[in-house]
Amino acid sequence: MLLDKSILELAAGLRQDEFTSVDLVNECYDNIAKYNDKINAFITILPRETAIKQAQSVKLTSPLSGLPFVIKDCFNTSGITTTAASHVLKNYIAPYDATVYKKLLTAGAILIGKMNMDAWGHGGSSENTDFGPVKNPWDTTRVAGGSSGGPAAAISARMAVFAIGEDTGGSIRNPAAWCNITGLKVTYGRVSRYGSIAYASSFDTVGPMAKTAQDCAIVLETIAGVDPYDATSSPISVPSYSTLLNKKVSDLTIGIPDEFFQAGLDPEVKTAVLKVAEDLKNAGAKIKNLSMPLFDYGLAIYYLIGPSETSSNLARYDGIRYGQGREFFTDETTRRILIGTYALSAGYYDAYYKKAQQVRTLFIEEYKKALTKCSVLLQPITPTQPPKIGELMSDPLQNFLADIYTTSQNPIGVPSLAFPCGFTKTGLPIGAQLVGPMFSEDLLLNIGYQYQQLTDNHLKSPLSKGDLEGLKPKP
Amino acid sequence: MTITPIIGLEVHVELKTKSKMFCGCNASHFHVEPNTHTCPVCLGLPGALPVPNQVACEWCIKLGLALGCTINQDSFFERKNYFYPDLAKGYQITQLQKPFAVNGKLDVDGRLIRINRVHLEEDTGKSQHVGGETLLDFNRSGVPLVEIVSEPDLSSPEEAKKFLIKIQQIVRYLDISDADIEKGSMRCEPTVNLKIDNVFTPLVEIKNVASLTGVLNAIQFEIDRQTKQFQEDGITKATGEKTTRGWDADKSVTFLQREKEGSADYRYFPEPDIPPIVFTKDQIEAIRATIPELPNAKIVKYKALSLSDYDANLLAENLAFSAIFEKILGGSTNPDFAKFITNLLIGPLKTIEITIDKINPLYFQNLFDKKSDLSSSVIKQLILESYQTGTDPLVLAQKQNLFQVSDTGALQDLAKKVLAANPQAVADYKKNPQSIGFLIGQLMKASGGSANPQVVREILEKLLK
Amino acid sequence: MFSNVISEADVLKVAKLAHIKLSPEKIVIFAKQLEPILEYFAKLNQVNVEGVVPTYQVTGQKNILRQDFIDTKRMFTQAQSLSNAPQSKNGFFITKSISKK
Repeated sequence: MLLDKSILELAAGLRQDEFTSVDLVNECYDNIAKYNDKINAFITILPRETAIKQAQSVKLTSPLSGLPFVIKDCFNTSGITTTAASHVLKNYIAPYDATVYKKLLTAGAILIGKMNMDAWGHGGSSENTDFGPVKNPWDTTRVAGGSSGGPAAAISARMAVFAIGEDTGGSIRNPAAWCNITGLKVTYGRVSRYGSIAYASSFDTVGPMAKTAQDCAIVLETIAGVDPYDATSSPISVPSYSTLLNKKVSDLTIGIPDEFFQAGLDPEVKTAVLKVAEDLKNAGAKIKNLSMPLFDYGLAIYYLIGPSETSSNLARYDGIRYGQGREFFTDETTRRILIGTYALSAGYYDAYYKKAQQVRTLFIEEYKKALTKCSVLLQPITPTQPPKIGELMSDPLQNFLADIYTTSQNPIGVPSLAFPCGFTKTGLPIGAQLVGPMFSEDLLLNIGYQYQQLTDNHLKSPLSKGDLEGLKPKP
Repeated sequence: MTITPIIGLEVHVELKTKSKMFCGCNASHFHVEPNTHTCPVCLGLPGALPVPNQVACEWCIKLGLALGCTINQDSFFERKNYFYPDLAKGYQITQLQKPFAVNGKLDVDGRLIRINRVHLEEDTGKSQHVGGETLLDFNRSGVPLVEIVSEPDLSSPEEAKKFLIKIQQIVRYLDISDADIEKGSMRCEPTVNLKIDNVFTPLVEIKNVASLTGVLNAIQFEIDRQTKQFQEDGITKATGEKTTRGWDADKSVTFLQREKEGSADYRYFPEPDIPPIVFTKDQIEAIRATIPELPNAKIVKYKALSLSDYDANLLAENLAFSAIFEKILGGSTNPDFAKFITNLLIGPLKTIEITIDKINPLYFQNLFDKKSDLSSSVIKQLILESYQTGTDPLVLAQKQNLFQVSDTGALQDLAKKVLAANPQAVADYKKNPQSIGFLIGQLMKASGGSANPQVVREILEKLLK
Repeated sequence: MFSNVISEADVLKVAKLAHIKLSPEKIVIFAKQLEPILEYFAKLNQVNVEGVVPTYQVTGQKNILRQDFIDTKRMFTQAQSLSNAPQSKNGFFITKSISKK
């Protein structure tokens, strides 16, 4: 299958006339036709004829030229419905382009879908959506993860070469782990947020999702960079990430924060994640155990600040200039708006919102300290294996607690690479994350690439048998 | 019962930047087709982000400095969250904890009125209520506003009006806003309560005051209304509570708009999309250096030249007037010359569009030197003609033969003729010397208006003895 | 110290502030669902934050400002402004009138 190839292989193949962009587009749409009904990854499938036309006239000016991609439906794409998976925006046709989308169009990439997600980013399973849940391609009775579940499932089921997701508290990393793909939560400000429908303004990051770290590196080169329309975007120059993947890991120290591996973490997940450290050690890296005692508070600060910012960001949805009224918010979204409004309200501001921002400061110090003792931190992504559909939604507190490993990085702003690191006994994917200092995407992608030279989890696809049966790993 | 009005003013000034506060849309919105100066940012579209206008920040600081404020070198924006159809994002980006400027003061006729803060924020769109519908235009959404909040130091409606006029003058001097109350580029909300003997009446904020006269009348109405109300119910001020009343200019009354409420819960929090703003001391001084001499200082200077209160205020009214006056004055400290210039300018300044480049100070000096030889009406006429033609007024005077006849001989003869022709007036004068005015007038007329009036009077008085 | 119990009255008040209409049933359900979450936040009481400056932004950036010029590239035509409006008339957005602010 062409879609099993890496971006570099595809770019080379196009230039050597082994196949055409039209071939890629057709393969994607064939897979969409075969599998999307079972997975429900798409909210809007762009017309095939349009994509083919683009593929026919594309100029191969960049590695991404002629490659079909999908984008989480929280990005404004001119002339195309943009819903954030909510009926509030059911009929909203974006009148402008998100910067990240513009950059990809300029690079000649071909958009084929606006993807299903947890509405407004509110969720970790892509079930909090008005368009039906996204099913995990590895087991369609289970969730794909969220909130970028649609993009992750699409990459996993070979419906697109790469995807753009958005991570506020694990929304790229969680579905990457549960769908067996690679996703990068960038440093806050590395990629412009202009045109990305805001969840939590000081947490939201825009990032690549693809089969490998190398693929993510190539996409990141194109989408990163300062944007005059986003005052929080970073002016730090964008490295050529794809040329920085070859350093060996022997100079590096992998930090293992003990608190992230305690009770509450599924034993199979724990084993698979810790094995990453072993594999890297065998490649020459050093391992160091360390302590991050504030771990216990990460979820609380995320769930106080995030909803506070979202309660304000969602105030513009009054159904007057666009969209429908506020009665269309789902229960989960309503709960977050209520929590946030409460935390900011008179009498509670100091105890909730301000306190959370103070603990945030302490967390920043803690991560800084930990990262002086090691090059990167190895952490799990999810406490469990992918749950059955409906399990998380039935218990708001459980749903909330499921984000425990991915919610401390966003308030700090540090980047994290999520990648496949194994499978459960029943063939469900497990992911791990490597967290580095601010603007260390080059380091993370380097380690990810090196790790993916030594392992093959990332090469496995749920389509191996042709009809979405989960792949059972060899004992 | 001793009643002391306590008045505070909140003034909003619309800055005349080219673009809006947080986006590059054209900031003009007067007589513009609705919803044609909008973009994702000021329309509050999903995914849009604000980026602050540097000039607006500098102008806010400039105004803060002009009002004697301390500038916060570290400043940031905050979100004020509330719902209203013309508030596109459901929050207004404004300043709360760290405004650009704080703790200023403004001298209003010798009383120092304290300024609590001068901060920067964005305007909302415009709503028009027609029938049961509200029509919304977002051209004004996002236009930069500077908010000036005074302490409740004002003690009368007149003082409040004067304060506003001074703010208006300063803003216009700084050339940062047209500050036109009728057009809405300057808005004002008075907050009024009374101290009655030792207690205070509840606070009332008055909205919809759309003119200077309105300010005067609305505040006076409120003072009277609160006095009556207190006499009826004796209710005193409760901490943190404020009632909002609207001013109805047609009926000349304030009417209840919102029941007493605690401070509305706006859930302010620092704006996460905008990094903080830091101005160095050097940058602030550079802004201060662009502030021209301000009206109050000019008024002091002009009064030191013996100009009257009225004249000094008029000349200082705006930068153009004062510039013209000062150009003509040059470095002179001669009070007579100052008065001379003022008398010539007072009328034309208000009625003609004067181009300062066409003013030649020398011409004024020339006329001043020859003022005893020309009547004041002739002088006024000459300076006007000289401005229009660019010719030396003395040359014009020569050409038109306007130099006053001071030649007493010729005047004596004319005087005798006038007295002979007006026996009744002579008789009246004998009865009442004040009535000499008529005869002076006659002699002036006979001399073609060019006689020196003082000389004329002397001649007549001598002859009439 | 903050109160961990959220009453139905609290939920109603907060929903009003957030301009969200809730049925009486929903208010009861949400109060029940939010309570354990708010209780979870009580964890933060264990952290000593005395003298700690809150972090509102992690970029460390300052003075990201724009020059004062008109950005015609981004300005909408009237048609574009109104393109998603459920109701519009003569170039204006329309909504049912509510009480003055």
